[in-house]
Amino acid sequence: MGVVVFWVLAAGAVAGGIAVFAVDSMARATFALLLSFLCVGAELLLIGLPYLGLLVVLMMIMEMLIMAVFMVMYMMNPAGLMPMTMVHNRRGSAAVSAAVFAALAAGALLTPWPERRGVPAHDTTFALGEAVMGPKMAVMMLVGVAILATMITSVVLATGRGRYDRHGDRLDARRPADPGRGAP
Amino acid sequence: MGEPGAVWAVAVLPPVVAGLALGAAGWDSVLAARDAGRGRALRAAADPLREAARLLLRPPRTVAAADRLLLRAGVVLLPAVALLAAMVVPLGNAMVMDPAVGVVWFNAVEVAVWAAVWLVGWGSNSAFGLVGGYRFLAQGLAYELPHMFALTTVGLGAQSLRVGEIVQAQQGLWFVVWMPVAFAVYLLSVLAMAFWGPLAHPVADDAAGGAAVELSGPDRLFFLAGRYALLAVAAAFAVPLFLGGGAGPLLPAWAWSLVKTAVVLGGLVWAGRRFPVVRMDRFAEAAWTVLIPAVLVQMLVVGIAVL
Amino acid sequence: MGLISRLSCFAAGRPPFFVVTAAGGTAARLGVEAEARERGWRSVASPAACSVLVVCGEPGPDLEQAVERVWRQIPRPRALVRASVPGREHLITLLDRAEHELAAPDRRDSGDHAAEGHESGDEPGMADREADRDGLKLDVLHVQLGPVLADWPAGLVVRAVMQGDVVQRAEVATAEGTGRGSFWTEPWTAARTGDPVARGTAERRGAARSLDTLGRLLAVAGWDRMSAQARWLRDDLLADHPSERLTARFERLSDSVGRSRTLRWMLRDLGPVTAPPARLAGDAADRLHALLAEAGTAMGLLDDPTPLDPGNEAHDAPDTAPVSLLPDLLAGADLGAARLIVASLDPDLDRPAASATHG
Repeated sequence: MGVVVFWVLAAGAVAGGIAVFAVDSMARATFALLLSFLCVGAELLLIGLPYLGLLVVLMMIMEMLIMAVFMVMYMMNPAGLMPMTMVHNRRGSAAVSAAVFAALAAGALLTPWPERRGVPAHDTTFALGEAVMGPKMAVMMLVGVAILATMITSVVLATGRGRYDRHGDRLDARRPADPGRGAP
Repeated sequence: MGEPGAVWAVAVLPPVVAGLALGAAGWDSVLAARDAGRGRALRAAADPLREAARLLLRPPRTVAAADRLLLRAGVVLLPAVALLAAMVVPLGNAMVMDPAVGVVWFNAVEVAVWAAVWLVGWGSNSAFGLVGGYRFLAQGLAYELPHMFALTTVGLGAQSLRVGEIVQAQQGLWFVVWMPVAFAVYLLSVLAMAFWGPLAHPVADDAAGGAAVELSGPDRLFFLAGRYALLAVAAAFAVPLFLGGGAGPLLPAWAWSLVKTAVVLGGLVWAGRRFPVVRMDRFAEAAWTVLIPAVLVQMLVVGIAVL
Repeated sequence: MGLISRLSCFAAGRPPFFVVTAAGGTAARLGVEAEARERGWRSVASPAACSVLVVCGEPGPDLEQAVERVWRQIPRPRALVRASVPGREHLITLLDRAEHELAAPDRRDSGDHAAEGHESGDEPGMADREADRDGLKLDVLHVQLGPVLADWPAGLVVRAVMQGDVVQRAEVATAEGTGRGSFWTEPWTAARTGDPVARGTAERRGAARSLDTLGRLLAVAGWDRMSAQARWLRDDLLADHPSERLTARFERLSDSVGRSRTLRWMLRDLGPVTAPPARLAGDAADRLHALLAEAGTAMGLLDDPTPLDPGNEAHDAPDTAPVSLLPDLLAGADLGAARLIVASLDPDLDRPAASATHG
């Protein structure tokens, strides 16, 4: 039973990935990708990692929908079912993706996977928490702060308006001067 | 304490959710009729049933160049989200399942509303629908983080993400007593995720119904019923999280669950009518600069208390 | 099939209705709204959600075309009501007939000259590209607001260029009125032509006008509860209910609306106007408070029997000031803000000779 579900989800994940490049609307491509990620999240549930699995589901839904905001910015055709393709430079991209796929598949097949030592933790969520807050804490802190810094930096670089524009040169304006108030 | 997987819980779940959703819709209709000065306001309680019959008997309207696949996916997703989320909500001691990460399950399922509303708005091929979907994403960015922190606070207080254990941890003192901020933030996020009352901007009348602008017939029925079901389920989840679950004197546990849920749900519907719609261009900043710090302080207090 | 027919009979009660108002159709709209409220009909903001389409006044060719397109999209069972003239008896007959048609769906409905098939015609069309307010080159969409739009001033059309939900530019056009003047200024017009009009009568009409605008502004602000109460009070004012109870109800309404911090938070800084006239000055929140004050003054004079002095205030001159302000105010506002700005200005386009294009 578990094996059948595993293969169904695996096939679903790959099919979703292929659909991204086969459908002719950006919205459909986004949700095909989401479907693929959801299948991966379900696989994690299947192998006994409920916390990570649900986290993948949660984060991927939010991420894909944020992507949809950008999509609306660049292609504001609701329901936009006009012919368009997600593939550019057909030959080059096919070659690159074939090569990457071959390399990854070879890696998966050729790696001498280690034998299992010990047994899985009784409560994987608890074990994950202990690992993150214990031996792996330094790494997690570093990565976490790096991601946060990247996000803040990219927002600061992307926006033309900073807090001095909003709250005045002395930052003493009580109400921010935002464009939404009426004048651009 | 919980009896996950009880067969009767599976059978009882859909009718209970439907009943609560219908009750909320009927209560709202009565309040609306009273405010408009219509005679015999109590009769309006049947309006949701009438509307359901009307929508069932109508063909859905087809809009030129709509993305019907995405539209239908969104329409069906909304009630599905409500039912999936309800699986970890206990009725008394019984629930469909009680996974070790029940709270995360609820959160992950509830986020799918983002997709549902956006899909319906985009699929309608209408500028108003697009704006409605867009508005829900802005709303999601404003409410989701405070909501997650409120859930985390509860998990921290109970030292477990399992809903059954969270209920058990409240045998001495309900969480609402020492986590009032988290409770308030949770209730606000209930209104936000069901885009109801003051947080109904994604389907507001100023955009001709927003994301739901083109919905008609069974499509509309699914969407509206799903929305009320979601409101009911999210309100019901406040009971195990903050209000001691089925605990209470005299009545059986399931009855206490229902009574508490009805009070929370009825209160939300009543309170929701007492505010105008809140727009995210104004509210998002408050959500990030007031709600998130407030609930973080709450979490700190709970964390210190637990230590 | 007894069950189906009984179900459709049940479903036909208290139908949702959508109102389209032509310039000059205000009196008919008020009649329809009051009668529909009595019957428990629910007004909806989208034609897709309605069973009854109500057209108030006499639509010109453009509006007529838009109405026919909307009508074609409404799935059956449906009913079309053309309330071209006010008059309670007449409206009762029309609404009765609509309820009857909905309950017996196999009959041909009243508007069946339109072709079968419900294909929507108002798809947004292809997007262009323009610089946004941050200087990024992004897609734009051309969206027309009005004339078929709920809680929207009759006769107003705004052609907006939008990016996401932000209006980048707006052009404003107004439809030709009927030339018969506005329902709201009738007492003043009558007084000017020499008819004896009591001041109380005129103030009653003025208060109803303020409450109509208030009801619309609150509906656009998404506050159904207060909007419904304002409209109920407006209907009772126009139905000549005695003034004491109405004044008390108005005080309660005015208190709740005027003191709402949420409403103030949502309205302030929207559509700031510095130029005269005074009633439009300030932002949308200021205009709301001016509206409440204006209605409050009028509510205090409902029983004034002295003859009305028409004065030299131009009550029947075209209401062009708000319309000419709109293009500047709407540029840069998002759709929600734009709707609130329009509702807070609420131009009365039923007044004669208000036909121009600004933008």
